[in-house]
Amino acid sequence: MELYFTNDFYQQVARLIKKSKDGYQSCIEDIISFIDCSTLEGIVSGNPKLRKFETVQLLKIRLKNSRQKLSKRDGYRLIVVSNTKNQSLSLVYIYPKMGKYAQASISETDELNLLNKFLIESKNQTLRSFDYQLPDFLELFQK
Amino acid sequence: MTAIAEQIKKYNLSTEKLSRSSSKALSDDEKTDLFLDKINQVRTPIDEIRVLLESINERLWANFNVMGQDEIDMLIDTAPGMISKSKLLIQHFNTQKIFHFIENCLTEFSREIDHFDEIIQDLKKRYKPSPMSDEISKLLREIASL
Repeated sequence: MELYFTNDFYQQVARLIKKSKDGYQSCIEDIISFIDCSTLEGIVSGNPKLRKFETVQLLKIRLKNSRQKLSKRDGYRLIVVSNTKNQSLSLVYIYPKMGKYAQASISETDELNLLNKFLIESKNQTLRSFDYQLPDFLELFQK
Repeated sequence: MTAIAEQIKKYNLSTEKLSRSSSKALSDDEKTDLFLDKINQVRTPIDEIRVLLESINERLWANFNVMGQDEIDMLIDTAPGMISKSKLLIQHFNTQKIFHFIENCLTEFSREIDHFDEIIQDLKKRYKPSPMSDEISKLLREIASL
């Protein structure tokens, strides 16, 4: 499975992990720990589909927040674009359900914007790739 | 008394409790979460129902965006009495009928739990594709063609 993330995702994670007191410091570990034990097919079949067209899906994944010991329900919602044709998973947005940056849901407008930016970055080949290695992924956010 | 009403009575999951829990304004996500939590208290795991509803979900999503997995999960947890009827619908697949079936289930449940009305309204809204849905579909088509 090829893994990518968008600039929106990067900005949001950077905002979440900026201050330890906000309680989102484990966000990256929680994402990696989810991806590490999943297959693309498992992710696609096991998570709510916000949108779907042929091999492309916009999925909403529930993640725990291990830092705050919050369950999947109260943890994060990770929004991803999966494409089973090219076996790729792109992280496009993440929001917490609890705490300072809590968000209830994402709107249709948000979906449209996220997909639009994903498409632009895909065309411009500016999507950033990463692998399953936690230190490498963490490093991307520490630069 | 419906199967759901019996379950609610059996496990003392009263309408009052649900209404009190949902007294503040809730987002769609929160409503579904709250509902799932409540329903989980009366859940009897039935793999067959899960498989069936997942099948409904796949078929629904293959055709139009009516429901999210949350609502499907909700039905998995609440509609065991409807299993025969839904099996029949799957055999004679017709998305419109399935939508009406789901809507009817929710309407029936709403007699027990008043805030389901909001969920039904939300479903109805989503059933009618908005202009934005068309734009999103175009984007997805373009992404798929990359």
